[in-house]
Amino acid sequence: MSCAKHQDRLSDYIDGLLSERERLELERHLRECRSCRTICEDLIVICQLSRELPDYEPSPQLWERIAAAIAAETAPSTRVRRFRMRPAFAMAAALMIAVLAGALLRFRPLGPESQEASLPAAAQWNVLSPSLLEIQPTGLILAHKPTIDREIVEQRIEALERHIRQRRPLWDAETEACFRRSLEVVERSLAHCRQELERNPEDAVLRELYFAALKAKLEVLKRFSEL
Amino acid sequence: MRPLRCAEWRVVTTKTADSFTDLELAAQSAAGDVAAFERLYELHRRRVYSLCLRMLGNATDAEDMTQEVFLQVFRKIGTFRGEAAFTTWLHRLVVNQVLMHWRKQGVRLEETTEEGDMSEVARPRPLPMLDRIALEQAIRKLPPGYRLVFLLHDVEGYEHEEIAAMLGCSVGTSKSQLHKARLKLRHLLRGGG
Repeated sequence: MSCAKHQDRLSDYIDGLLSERERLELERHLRECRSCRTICEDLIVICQLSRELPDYEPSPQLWERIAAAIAAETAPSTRVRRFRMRPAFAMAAALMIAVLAGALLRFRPLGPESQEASLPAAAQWNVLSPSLLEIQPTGLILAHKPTIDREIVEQRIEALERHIRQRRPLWDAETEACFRRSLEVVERSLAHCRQELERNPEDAVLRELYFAALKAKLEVLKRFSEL
Repeated sequence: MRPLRCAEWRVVTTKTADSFTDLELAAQSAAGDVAAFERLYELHRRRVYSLCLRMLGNATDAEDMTQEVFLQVFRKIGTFRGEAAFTTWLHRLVVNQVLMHWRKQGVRLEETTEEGDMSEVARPRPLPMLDRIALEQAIRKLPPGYRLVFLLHDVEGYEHEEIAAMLGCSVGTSKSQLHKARLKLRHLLRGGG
């Protein structure tokens, strides 16, 4: 068999695709033919180096572009008409929720001797029982007692924030301003609660209020995530 | 697109985002969960972008194509049933995009070189010290058809059967294109034009 014929089989040999008989035949030729052996060695080097080629990173803005394109594709046309009405509603709800949370913070009974002193161990910082407040999407405050993990609420907030980040490039200036203002009010309440909690970490009422502020933030994000 | 419902949200909290399989993330994405789709993007962006970059040769075109690929993925994610690996399904979409791009540019995949010119019988010189940059440059100079098969096989690690299915050609054609691509690369790396 000629060198050309043997060389035609080199890739299959390197990839382990030759039969036993073909492999032995080619190896016998490679032992005898320096020229074909050199080609074979070179191809092996090329294959090895190719497997080690690194992956490259696209620019960080690429996801934003993709997310914006997806949002544009999936937004139903009816949303366009609702677009201008809903921010105002979201704003009003956010303000109402935040004001309620703020007001309760001001009028709550103060002092270490208040009810938190007798709290069971289960009422720890990471598990909040919103017995005082359960703010509904309508802004109403109900008095029932689901035990909700703070971590879950925070994860939900994180997911909504991510969702909003994708939608945000499509908002008009009015919506953007409205969102900023709404969030600012809620963040102020949250910061206030956190500050108070640093001083009185065992205060159960403060924890309730902090939870209420978190829920308020959740509500604001939920409303804007639908825009 | 819609935000996660409460029940789904609880499921998400029992498993960290990192522990979902491609199939699970695909199912969540198909249900409109953009966060799950973003995770899929995070997991696969580098491989898709790198393949596009090597196929097209410049970063701007590669990013445009990566964007188009992921938009296609989002549109078609509901058809992914997990029969093949997600990466295979994804790369098939990349290959389709690349082929479409070349078709628009009038690139002919049948382009080949004269193998006789690369005969080494009389010149058994070994390759000079080979580095990654030289190899990347040589890959860029390969004819498109060779380049595609070479990248899928030697860089991405696909078998000839998978490549043949992606390209709609025979296994023999895939093998032949790969061998010619490797010989051409050797020729280029030895200083041949």
